[in-house]
Amino acid sequence: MAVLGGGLVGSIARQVVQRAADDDGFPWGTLSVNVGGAFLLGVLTSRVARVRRPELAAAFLGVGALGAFTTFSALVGQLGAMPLPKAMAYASVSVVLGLTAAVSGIRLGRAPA
Amino acid sequence: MSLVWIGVLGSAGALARYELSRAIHRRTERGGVATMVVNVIGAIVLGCLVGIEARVQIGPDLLTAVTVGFLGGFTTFSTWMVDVLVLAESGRLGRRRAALNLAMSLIGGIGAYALFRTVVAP
Repeated sequence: MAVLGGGLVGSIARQVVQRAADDDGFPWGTLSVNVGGAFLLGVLTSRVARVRRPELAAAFLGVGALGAFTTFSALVGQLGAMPLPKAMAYASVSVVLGLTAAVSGIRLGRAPA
Repeated sequence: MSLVWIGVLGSAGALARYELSRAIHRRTERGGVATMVVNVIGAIVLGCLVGIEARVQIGPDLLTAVTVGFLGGFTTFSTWMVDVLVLAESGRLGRRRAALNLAMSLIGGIGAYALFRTVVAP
């Protein structure tokens, strides 16, 4: 149930960002949700042991909401429709920013509250 | 396509990801495998759908519902990134395994998408 509820919230939030994003030839919306979601999951991962219901938080926020907020299928579909140089740039930017965001989130989460 | 439908199908996708990941975890303890398998399966389904759409009109609403809704909720980027970081810190070969996971997920995902799209709509 927690995964279903989180998935509902995460998917709707993703679509809201996608619609708000001005994709002028570059998928800014997908990049935003993916990098933002990676940061938030980093925070959650390093904080989850300290909350009152860690299993519920991990299922609802981690697996459900952030899992569904971010997307791999849209990334792949967009990469497949791009010319090669642009696809390589988009893939690199996504992975480098995604990893940096997750590391930053984990560090922030570890910092004492 | 209404946001409610995107949400409902997205939550179904998230649950499918959760169940499939758990089933894979029971078979292998190797880190990062479950998310990679889920994401590559999502790429295969997307390739098939885009191929089908090129042959017969599925209609933009149904295509959006399944791709943005279900597949968007099924596949994940955030868990993939955290998986890669955890792998990178796992022992002597950690960084190599993390790099391998990144490469296999990306190349596997794009390759599977392109292959299945081409097979369905040559």
